[in-house]
Amino acid sequence: MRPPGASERKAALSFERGMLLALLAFGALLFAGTFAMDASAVAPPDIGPLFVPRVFSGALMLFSAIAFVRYKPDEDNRTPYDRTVLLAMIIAIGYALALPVLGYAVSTFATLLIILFAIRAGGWAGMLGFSAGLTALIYFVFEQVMKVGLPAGPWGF
Amino acid sequence: MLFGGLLGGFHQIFAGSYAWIIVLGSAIGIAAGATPGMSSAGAVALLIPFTFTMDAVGSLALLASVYTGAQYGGSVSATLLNTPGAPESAVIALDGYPLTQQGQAGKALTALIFAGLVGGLVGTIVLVTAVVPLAKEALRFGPPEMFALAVFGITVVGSLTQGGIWRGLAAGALGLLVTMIGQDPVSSVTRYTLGTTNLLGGIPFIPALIGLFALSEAFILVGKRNQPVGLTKVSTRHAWPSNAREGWMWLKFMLIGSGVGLFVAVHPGGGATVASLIAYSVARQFSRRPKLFGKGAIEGIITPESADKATVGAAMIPLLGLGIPGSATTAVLVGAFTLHGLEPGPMIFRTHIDVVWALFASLFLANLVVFVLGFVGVPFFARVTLIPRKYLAAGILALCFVGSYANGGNMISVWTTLVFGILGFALKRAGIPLPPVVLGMVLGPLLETNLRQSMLISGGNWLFLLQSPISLFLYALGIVSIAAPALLALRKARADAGGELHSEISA
Repeated sequence: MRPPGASERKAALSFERGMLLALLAFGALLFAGTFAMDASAVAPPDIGPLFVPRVFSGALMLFSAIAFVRYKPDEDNRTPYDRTVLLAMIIAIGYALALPVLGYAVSTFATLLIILFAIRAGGWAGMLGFSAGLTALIYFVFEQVMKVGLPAGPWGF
Repeated sequence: MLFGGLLGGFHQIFAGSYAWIIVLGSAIGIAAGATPGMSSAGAVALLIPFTFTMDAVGSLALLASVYTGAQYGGSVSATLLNTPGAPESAVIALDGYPLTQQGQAGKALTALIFAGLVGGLVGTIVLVTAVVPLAKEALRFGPPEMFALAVFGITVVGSLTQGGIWRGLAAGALGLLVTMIGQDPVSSVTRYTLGTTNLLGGIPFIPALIGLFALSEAFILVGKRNQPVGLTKVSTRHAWPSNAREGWMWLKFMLIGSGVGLFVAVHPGGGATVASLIAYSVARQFSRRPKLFGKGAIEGIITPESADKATVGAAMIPLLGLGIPGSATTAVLVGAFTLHGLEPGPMIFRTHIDVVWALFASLFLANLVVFVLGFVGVPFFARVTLIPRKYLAAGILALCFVGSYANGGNMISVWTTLVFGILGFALKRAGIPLPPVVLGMVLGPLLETNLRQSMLISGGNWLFLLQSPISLFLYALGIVSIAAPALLALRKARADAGGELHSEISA
């Protein structure tokens, strides 16, 4: 695998800083959100349901702001990322959408096959065998052994 | 009385052929614990329906052995796959997974099984010998002491942080904030639910954990799919301590972990997750090589594993002594007790003392059986990591979704896993550590509930939080936990500056 280029490194640095800013914004959003809550029924000496969220969201804003200002890139432990990871996430979202509609068996088999194809895992025989085998194994363990009901499709499984 | 009762318990187990149930329960427990998303509480809950036709002794023997086995199994998957089967095993992944990546999975698994045996036996011995007096001690813990315990737990963030303490603290604050979603625990005011009733109960913890630790790992494996290094082969050759000195070091940290596990779990609500996190922090303080923590320190897995296993017995002290579960799994066990017409609490020692002794004997035997199964299974478990990375990523993804669905029985759990999986990947990509997020999620409710109860009891007097010697002791431990890494960092910075100055003078 080729080493990351200057543009990839720049993108990673931007993402790291952007994530810290996103946490800062998230903290600010939740801090502001406490002012929209109705806690009028709570009276002293109870400190109320808004005090602790304000402390925690304030802490998130403070710590992420300091982390942003004192930012130092950690080149050694960078998590690899490419478009295939994004594709895997999209497939995972599709799996969550398909699970209650198509049921466990069809959606799991299809998801496994699609993701293996997307990451070019190997030949068709291996991918089909793994997808079918794992789908059946999980079904057996959860449905037959552990008696946990998995989502069923229109065809009953 | 003690030995006679215990002998009677062993007699019940062997005369009633319950020994095979313990072997079966331990094996199921290890397998279930190693499955991502299957916590010991989940495994015990799933097994309760299987005990309808059993008597009370058989039922409790099975569930106690599942509980014991699952605690070990969760640590195995955390070490080999970086996918903790249960929240209490999350901290094991911090050093267990780096050890696996370094080709020392066999040694890590051996350390885990011995740590589990020591912790489990210590926990059970203390349960048997000290259930009544220790339960009396736990009674003295009020909201101020529990708040102090939670504050101490939060200070562990400083020890868990890799890649900058501020990023770690931000991650911890994020975890604390996540627990603010839903109805507040004291006055039931709705917070951050976006108008949906699905979030009234808060973010489901186990699905969030599966997402943060397991699903994010599946995405990372996709990103690493073409890298030649990593999980290609696991050697079990170096499965033992290198020398007697290392062996003693293992034993020392096993006993430290057992002590921490006992201390935390004996207090209602303390639980194995808090115990293992605190044990990790304590181990770091006691270790001669704290810098290795997070990169593959063997004591970083031994201590939390001992603490984790010690909590199995210790968490039953408040359950049996006071009728209050000491952990999530013992809370599930209450269901098994009531299923057979038993009420856990002080009265059980008068009404069904024979069942209690049989339960104690079951715990002893389950620890020994898990040790043997785990020991024999080391090469088998180590082979798990030989699965090709691309197939492993796909398999973990499917298991995460199904395990999450099985845990909650609804799609909210699945969506929680997905959201936290993507969040976990993004945080890791940004160099923000995940363990403080989980720590915050565990301690958030404990902090808020006990703070607000303290204020209600004291009429709003904040000094009430500082009036107990136990609280003061816990705050002092917290200060040490924060100050020690900061002082070490300062010392390192000064040493580095001194080195640079020396180089300049020499030049």
